[in-house]
Amino acid sequence: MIRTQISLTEDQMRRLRAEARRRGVPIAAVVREAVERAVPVDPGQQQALLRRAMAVIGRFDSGSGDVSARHDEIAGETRW
Amino acid sequence: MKRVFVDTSALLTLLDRADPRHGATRSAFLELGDAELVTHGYVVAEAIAVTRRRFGVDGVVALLDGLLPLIALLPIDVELHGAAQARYRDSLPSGTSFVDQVSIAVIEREAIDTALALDSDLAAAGAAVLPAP
Repeated sequence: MIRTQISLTEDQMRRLRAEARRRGVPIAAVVREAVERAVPVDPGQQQALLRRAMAVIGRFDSGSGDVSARHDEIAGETRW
Repeated sequence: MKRVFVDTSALLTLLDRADPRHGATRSAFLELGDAELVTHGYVVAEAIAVTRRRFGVDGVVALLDGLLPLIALLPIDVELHGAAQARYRDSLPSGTSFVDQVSIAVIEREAIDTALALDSDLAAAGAAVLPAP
């Protein structure tokens, strides 16, 4: 996440606060959703990211198949 | 846009084709379509540590370059960290990890209703967990 600073009118801020309060979410969440609606992700870029993800999904074989189930224990065995 | 929380267990299961839930997790991941995937930095730290231990540097590179670019990071501020830490302290000696306590706090704060996770602890936050147990 990138922190940024924006200026809003008093009325915009009032409506933003009211919407966040109504939905029980932070003001930042309402702003992020508005940005997603106004400036959606480029579908081509999203597809490229998905292809990169698919290229690594299932690439590894732990043998035991229990890495996910035992990850808390394994995390304690290693240097962070 | 629907937001879906991704936890450590899901990242590891996606990488590991030997995991008995790999196929189900892969299918759930693909069915999320254009949902916005989100997580937080403690999940990333935990996933890197476990991936490096079990899948080596190649695994970490796959995680960093392949999976994480699809997932947005949500900030953990001091208040949320403190609340999760207090909850973790109060829940001892339960099996819910500190990272899971942070995840539960994030899911609640952001009103996220779905999690890609193999960890049933996240259901405590009220999120529907995918793939279904």
